[in-house]
Amino acid sequence: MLDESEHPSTAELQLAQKEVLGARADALLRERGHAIACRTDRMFAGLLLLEWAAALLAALLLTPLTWEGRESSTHVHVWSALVGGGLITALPVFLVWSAPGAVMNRYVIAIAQMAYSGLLIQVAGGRIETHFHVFGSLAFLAFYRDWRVLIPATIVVAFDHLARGYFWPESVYGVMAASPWRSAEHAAWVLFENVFLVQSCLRGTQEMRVLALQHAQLELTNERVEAEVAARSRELEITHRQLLDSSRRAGMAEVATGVLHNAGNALNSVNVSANVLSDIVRGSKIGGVRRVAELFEQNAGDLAGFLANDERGKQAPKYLCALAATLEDERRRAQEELTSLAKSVDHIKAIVGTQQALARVPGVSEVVPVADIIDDALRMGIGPASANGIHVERHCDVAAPVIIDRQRVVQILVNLLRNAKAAIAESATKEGRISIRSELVDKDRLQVEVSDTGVGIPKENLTRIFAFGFTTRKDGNGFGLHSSALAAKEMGGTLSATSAGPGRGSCFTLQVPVALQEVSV
Amino acid sequence: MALASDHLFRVRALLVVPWLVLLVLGFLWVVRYEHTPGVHGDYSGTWPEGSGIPLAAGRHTLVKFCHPRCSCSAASIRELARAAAKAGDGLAAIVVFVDVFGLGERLHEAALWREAAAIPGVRILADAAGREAKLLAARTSGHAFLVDPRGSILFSGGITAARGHEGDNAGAGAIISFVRTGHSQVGATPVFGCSLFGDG
Repeated sequence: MLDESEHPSTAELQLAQKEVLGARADALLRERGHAIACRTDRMFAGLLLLEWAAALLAALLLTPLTWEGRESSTHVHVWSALVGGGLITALPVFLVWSAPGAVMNRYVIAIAQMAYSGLLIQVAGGRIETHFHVFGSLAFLAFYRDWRVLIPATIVVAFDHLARGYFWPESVYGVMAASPWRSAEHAAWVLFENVFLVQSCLRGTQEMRVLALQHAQLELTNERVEAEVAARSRELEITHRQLLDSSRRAGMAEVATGVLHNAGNALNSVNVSANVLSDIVRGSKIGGVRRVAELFEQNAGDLAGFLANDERGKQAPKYLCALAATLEDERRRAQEELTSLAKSVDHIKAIVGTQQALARVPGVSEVVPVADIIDDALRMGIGPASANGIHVERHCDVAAPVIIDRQRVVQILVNLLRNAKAAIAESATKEGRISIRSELVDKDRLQVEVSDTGVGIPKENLTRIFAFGFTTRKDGNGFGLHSSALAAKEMGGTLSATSAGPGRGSCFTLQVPVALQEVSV
Repeated sequence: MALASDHLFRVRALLVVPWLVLLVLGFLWVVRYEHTPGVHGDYSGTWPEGSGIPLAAGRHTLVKFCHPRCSCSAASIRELARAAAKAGDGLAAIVVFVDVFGLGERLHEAALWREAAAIPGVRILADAAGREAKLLAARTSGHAFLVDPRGSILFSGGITAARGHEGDNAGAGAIISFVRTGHSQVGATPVFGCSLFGDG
């Protein structure tokens, strides 16, 4: 922990930031300066080579030969252009090639460029127009944006005049009245240009420094923004992870809800079957057997006389036949309910098994007649229709067995049928009709429509009803349709709903891909 | 391709010194050549009576001798044009080409002849075998003589500051001064050009 006194003050922070900015701006300025130097070096290397060629060409065209009467020899201009030009060019080009942008280069190039001014003026026979080369070269040298480079260039010009004046005073300054003034005028123009070029270089450098500072500031801002973005990204990542955990937990809850919901539906069927069995047992005519047996026991001494003469004995065989028929019927109904009960238990086992696999493992497909699926769903979803006062219409246009995940389809249809039953129960009449119709569409898709004459669905709820937790029923949990739609989607199918509006019933359409089982004839 | 920086810097720095020395020496050699005059004949005084060159009556005459192929004399011809223009009607200019090659009529085809002929008011003459040049002891191409109306030679020498070098020079200045004012401090200048007869 730092003491308060150890924390840097705002002023200190600003100073530190200014130093960082200044250092970065200096670095950028050096980089930019080096880039300019490299570019200008290369430009001058090319220019010097060009000037060499131009000087040689000019010498060959203008002064190829010198004469001694009738004898000729190569003119000194040709040699000076060839050898002198080569000498002037060689070192700067080598320097640029070996280390472009080095400070030494620009000074050597400045000397070389001004030496070319002298060479070209000489080769051109002193034409006044050629003197423009001096001024043009000074301007070109200012491309370096380094005013110091003008110093060696100016020295070379000055040396040219001073050397001529010192060694050949008669031809330059001595008796020739006009020359010194003309030389002074040349020097004045050179200085005049230098003043502006130096100013231009200084201003250019200053502008580059301002730009470098702005660039550094921009970089600093970018770094801050990037750091901020990185921090926010980390936070987002953490939040995302937390969200995933929450979702996973929610998913587990959803799975648990699904298990409970579907198992609850199946348990309802178990309960119905148990009640029916209880009613069968409770209302059983098995007591009649006991009563007949007691009569036979009381008349055991004269059983033949009892059967032949006693009125009750005479009725006994008929009664026993009727009782046997009744008991057989009881047994049949009990057997049917037991079968239904067993199926419901199997269904619960399948639900639990599927949900244990997090419903992600593709379900087990089996070969099954579509009619069996419909019957199972009706039995578990509606139960005895007459008991509910609901008229059920069942249409099955698919004769051939199909290969399908039976448990899932049954589960979906049970959900739809229970919803239809509830919708009718909520309607004003409490009576109604449920229609379940199955057919094949596009040859490989099983379509099952479950329609009812119940309370119907408002238009705005047609899509919301598939959302997790959405329900319009008091005892609903908002899971049945959600899990059914998910199950349909996992099988590669769809579940959709239509309704003409409140009080006008609804229709749910399930479509799932199937494969048809070949039926052998 | 970059060499090791320290070694490279030393190599580069070491190269600069001899390069500068060679440049200076080369410069001095060239300038020395440019400023080395040709042989200056010692004829002075009055215009020779035996000369066939017709002097202008009532005004100054500038007679200039040239080698037909001396490239240095091109600068001299252009200086003559400037001087003639500045001097105006007070000066009659004559360029005499010494026919050192015996070209005869083909002398007119020389580039220098055509350049001189293009100057307004300048008369061009051919000096077969260099008779006139020898008469006036002119031995270097570009040698000019300014003669006053009385036949006195006021000026003898070159009208360029260096060999083949245009620009202000004492010779041209002296000629203009003589024509305009009748006097000049300069009466003779070095002549820069090719040798007319190969004896320079």
